[in-house]
Amino acid sequence: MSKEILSIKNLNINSVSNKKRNQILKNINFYLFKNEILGIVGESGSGKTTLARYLLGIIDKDNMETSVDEYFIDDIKIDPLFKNIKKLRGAFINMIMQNPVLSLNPTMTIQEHFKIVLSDVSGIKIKEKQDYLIEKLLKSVAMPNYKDVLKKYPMELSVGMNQRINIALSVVNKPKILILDEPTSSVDEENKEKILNIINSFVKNNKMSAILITHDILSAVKVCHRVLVMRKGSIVDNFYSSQINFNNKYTAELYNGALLKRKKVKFNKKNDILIEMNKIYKNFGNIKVLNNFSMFLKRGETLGIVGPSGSGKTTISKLILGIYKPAHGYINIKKTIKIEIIFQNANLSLNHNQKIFRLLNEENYINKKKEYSRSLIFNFLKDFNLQINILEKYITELSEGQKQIIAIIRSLLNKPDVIILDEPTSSLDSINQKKILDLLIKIKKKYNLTYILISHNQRVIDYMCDRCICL
Amino acid sequence: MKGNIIKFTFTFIFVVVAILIFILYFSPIKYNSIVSEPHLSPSFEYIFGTDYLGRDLFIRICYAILNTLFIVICSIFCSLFFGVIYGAYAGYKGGKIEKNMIIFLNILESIPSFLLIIVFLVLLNNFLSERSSIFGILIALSIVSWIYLSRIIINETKKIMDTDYVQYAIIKKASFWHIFKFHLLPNFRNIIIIIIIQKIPSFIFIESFLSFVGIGIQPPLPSLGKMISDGVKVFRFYPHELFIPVLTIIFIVFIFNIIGEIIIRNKKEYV
Repeated sequence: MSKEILSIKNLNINSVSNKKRNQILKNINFYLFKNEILGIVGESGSGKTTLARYLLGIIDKDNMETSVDEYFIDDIKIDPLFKNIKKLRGAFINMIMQNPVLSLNPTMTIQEHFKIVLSDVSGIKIKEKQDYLIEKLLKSVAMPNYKDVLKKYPMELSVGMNQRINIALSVVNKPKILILDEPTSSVDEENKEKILNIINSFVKNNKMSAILITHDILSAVKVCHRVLVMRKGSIVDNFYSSQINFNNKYTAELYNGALLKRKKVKFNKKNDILIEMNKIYKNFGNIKVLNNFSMFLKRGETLGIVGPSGSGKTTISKLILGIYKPAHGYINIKKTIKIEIIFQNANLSLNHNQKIFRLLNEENYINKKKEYSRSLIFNFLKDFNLQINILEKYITELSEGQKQIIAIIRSLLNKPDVIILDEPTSSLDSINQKKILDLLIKIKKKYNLTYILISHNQRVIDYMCDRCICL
Repeated sequence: MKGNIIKFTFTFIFVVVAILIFILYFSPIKYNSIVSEPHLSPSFEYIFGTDYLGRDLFIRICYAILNTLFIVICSIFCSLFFGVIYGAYAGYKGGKIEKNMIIFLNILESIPSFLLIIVFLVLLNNFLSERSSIFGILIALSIVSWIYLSRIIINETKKIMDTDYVQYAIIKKASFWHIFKFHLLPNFRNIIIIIIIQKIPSFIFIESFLSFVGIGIQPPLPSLGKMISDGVKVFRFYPHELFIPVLTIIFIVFIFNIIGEIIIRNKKEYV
């Protein structure tokens, strides 16, 4: 671990659109040693992905202005217009993108993907040799029954499987540098661990260097040798993961936000039961989703529902809300209670083309009642440190965390008893996640709420819940 | 930027229409008044000359442009009205109802649209007077064009119905009208504007063609298509009678095409 394989000095990137200039990256200096895994961590919007795309020279040149003093890949000086990076791409430096399903061609089988890479890029055209290599690669990414997988199309496989195929495809040519852009963000907890392990062993066995870009500081510390912390386009901290010291306040905040240490909350066990589900069966066609599922919910508690993706978490919430009807079994919901739901992605749960004031009043429009007065809404906004002028804005003008807060206010305005939280923080980075979770705990006390928290993140469940159901 | 182009387009149409109405209202010459000898060349008195009956071509062209714009804009709005409601309802209901509604569209679309228009107009012109032939062509154009529109709207609606905010409204037991007004219509805005501006040139063309063939706007009402067909007969001796209406159509279509092109080029930041 001595020689630098990639180094970059004083990189600045501005986005230019509609005569507005916006600095995305400010004065970036870093280097990557041989056989090292470097982590780049930051909130969403801190410029991580832009940096990764710049390294490969696939940046949007029409809308971006770049300036750099020096950019070396293994003693080759990269020209600022990326004229000489084309030869290096694929063979020397390679990238794995954020969404594994979208980065494979949906009209080609997995075998065809491998064939193209093998014959066009590495020039191996003998069929037996190709088959041998494909088998070896798929075994090395721990792909179960790989022979069936080869005949399938990307959409027939799960997200985790697709990501493994992406990894296998990207290492066909044994690149020296591998850039991983959020490889685990669309994968559930169980697969996440597996994929990180595969990446780790791959890099070690093949003597590669890798850059892991993620918003999850815990997995970065686990996998990487060295971690860079980015904030608003510049690198604010740089530490070895073997010796974590929180000299930097921001790093400490990120780390503690991700750890989520639990505070004990008292909860009276004698409270009345609000929702009861008994021996529920539910299937979609031939796929059985719920099989003899029972649960109850008491007033004032926070019930967690954990499970991998596809285990029927969202189905339960939809059964409670009455969108689906169970095939067998009964659901008993107390008649006087009002149930609200807060969705996973605040971006999709609020209409982009309506002003926030109208969004908050939606239930009144549905029931043809009077709008909430501005002073009433203002009382809620004050609790969340938002300004009154936000009511005249559109949702696109807000940050990710603020969007989720608006969704929470919309639910609170209708005076609910039970709120179903469907992965409320999975699209947020660790700092925003902690903020929202703390807020949820605060408003639970203030308005005497009962929560059902659906999540695939065990840490979030541990932090929030009194009781937990595993699917 | 995007708002400016659309504002500019609508003010442009408005200003042109206002000028045309102003000219027609204050000019002593009417579209059907015979003012002078036939086949006069353009001069200071009659800017575009006169036609085979000695009517002022300039006034007739102004009137014809107004007729065309009226037909085109009204038929686009009629087809938008039916297409959007039909498409949104089909997309909202989904399942069997959507399937049947799409089958109905397929049946209508399997008939060649020009044939449908011609049959419809020939039938309708028997009942309508010459002056109301404008409404015949308006109805015929709307009947044909809403099918294409509602197809786009069905797909768009299905996309929006999948989002969480519509799901939330459904949980709250919202009616179709609430979802349509509150969620669907604001999301259609961009696509509708693009369709309007794209469709205007082709509608102008169809209208002129039908009048050229003789089943569109009926004389004595002036229309660009009819003026061209009159011009063709005397083309050898009085070429201005053909070229002036032809150039007018080219000019109008050209302007709307350019505006449409600008908007579609900016579509990226726009949709």
